[in-house]
Amino acid sequence: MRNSITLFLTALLGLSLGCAPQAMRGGPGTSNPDLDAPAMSVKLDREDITYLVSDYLGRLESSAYWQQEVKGAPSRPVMAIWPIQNQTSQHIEDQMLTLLSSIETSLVNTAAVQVVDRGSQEALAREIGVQHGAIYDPSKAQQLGRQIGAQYFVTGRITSVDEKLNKQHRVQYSLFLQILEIETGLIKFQNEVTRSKAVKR
Amino acid sequence: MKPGSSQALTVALCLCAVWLGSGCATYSDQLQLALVAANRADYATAISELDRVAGNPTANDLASDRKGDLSLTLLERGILRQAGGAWRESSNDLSAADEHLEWLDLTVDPVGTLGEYLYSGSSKTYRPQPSEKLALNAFNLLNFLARGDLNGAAVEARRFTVMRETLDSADIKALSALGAFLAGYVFERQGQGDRALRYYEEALAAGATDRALQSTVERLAPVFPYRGPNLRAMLGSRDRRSSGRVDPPTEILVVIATGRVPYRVPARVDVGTAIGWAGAMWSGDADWLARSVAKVVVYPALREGRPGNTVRGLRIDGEALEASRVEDLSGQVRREYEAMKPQLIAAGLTRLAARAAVAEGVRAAAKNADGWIGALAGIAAEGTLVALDRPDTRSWTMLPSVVAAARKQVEPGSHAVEVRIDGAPARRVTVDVPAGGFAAVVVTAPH
Repeated sequence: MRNSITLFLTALLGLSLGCAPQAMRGGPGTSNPDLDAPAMSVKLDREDITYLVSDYLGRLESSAYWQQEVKGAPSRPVMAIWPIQNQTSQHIEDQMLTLLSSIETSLVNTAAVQVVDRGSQEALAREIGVQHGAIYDPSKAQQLGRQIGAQYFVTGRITSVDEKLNKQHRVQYSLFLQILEIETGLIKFQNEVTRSKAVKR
Repeated sequence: MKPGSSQALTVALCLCAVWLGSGCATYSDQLQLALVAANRADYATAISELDRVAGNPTANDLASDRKGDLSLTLLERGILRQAGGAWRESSNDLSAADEHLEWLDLTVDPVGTLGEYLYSGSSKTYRPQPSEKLALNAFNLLNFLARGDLNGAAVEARRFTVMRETLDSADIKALSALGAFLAGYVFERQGQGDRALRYYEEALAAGATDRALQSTVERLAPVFPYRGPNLRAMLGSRDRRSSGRVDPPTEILVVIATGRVPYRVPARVDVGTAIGWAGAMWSGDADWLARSVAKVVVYPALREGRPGNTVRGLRIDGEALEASRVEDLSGQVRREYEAMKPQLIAAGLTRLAARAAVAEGVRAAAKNADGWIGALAGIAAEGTLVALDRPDTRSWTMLPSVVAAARKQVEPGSHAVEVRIDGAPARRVTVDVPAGGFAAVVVTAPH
């Protein structure tokens, strides 16, 4: 009888420990290198953003525009990033900030262009009435471009097709980015990269 | 005491103990003090009462919300916070609830569903009614508009559309005039006039009054080609086309949500009436019902909320303006309830039969005992199960009943807006409208 009670209490203790939340560290160099891999929702996570940006940058760097006009320029062209529109069905404002930072970092690391700091650019943009998340406006872009000394704007939008059916929810994201020459308004490069997220039972 | 009677009494006593330990308040009971405070337009106290009952939930607590009860609390609080002008906090509540309820929608709840038919209507996971699902995005959209965040509002407009299409694909014909009206407004302001007209068509089909949309449609129609039957009827012989462009006007949008929708309360009805109400939904064996001592069916009845249409005056810069009705949510809630009432009653009848079976079992266990002990144990068991049977009274109780709106083109600059509603002090706000921009004044008054 006493043994049974001990066994029962031990099992109860085990169960209670098993239910307690546990903090952990994850990513490369930790005991949980794959912690970031599973999708937790249909929203964009860092894995998705890294994929979208690296895919886009890969295509950009192999484009004729980059090889000829950027690399062939006498001095490194100056690029600025115009706010990218969130046209999805998800509130991904925080992810958009990560996306912008990731684009900025990737461009800087190519060492082929100079990139205008977004912090100082935003203050100037507000001065001429460009709100955060505003659609690209050529006339205001020219004004802002002159003030910050940029030749090109990276701009675009992220869109989604959102569907739910039979206990499944799928969101197909498309990141559409283009590089515009500020002075002429010409599109120098544009591309679209996609990523889908789903939750299903 | 004979062995059979001992077992029977043990079962009966266990059931009584479960009853005593379970707490018997239904959702509508728990909400009572918050409702009383809301009736006085004392939204701060109503929020405190909600938080006291639910433990001040945040989005982080939703991970453990398996039944959707916390999500429902966030919906209630989201409306109360909107009523107090706390747009960001209201948005946090409504967005968190939206995402979690969607997650729960993807889960299955076999134990809860079975429990609904065996012992209590409240045992299953809360799933919002179609009108609630569509209203969620519409009311959250208002939070973004009130803050002047058109991009955030557009996200909610898209979420509204996804939800409406999801319901449509499941053959659930649900429309929201408010959601369509606001989505149209957002896309119109973003320069997508044709898309806006499609939403305005939908709003008219869902019951928005012509007056709420007439001038807007007449302004857009010459340039944008989309026509649905309601737009054609509205435009009539005045439907003319012209080239050119229509820029979004410098304007003030006023949206006023008043009253509260009907809500569910626990009720009991005799078996005969219940069978009549259940109609074709009940095909069980009536013999079992006859064996029950307590011949009552427990079910959630619908009680009227608070009257809407209580706007007594709207003025912009001193000029009187009429707010036209866009949405009658109370009507939708009533229709949805009437459609599902037979199912609710049938579930109650099944629980009654299950109670009779348990009581029969207890009586059988005590059949060798003294007759009065067996009968008493059976009655005690059945009585306890009746008391345990808590009808599912969960619904979005703070949801406003009627929504009206007005739009007025103004000169860029500062403008005074005054809204008078019965039972609350006049709301006066000053808004700054940029050239070509808008300001949204949202007055939510669920009292």
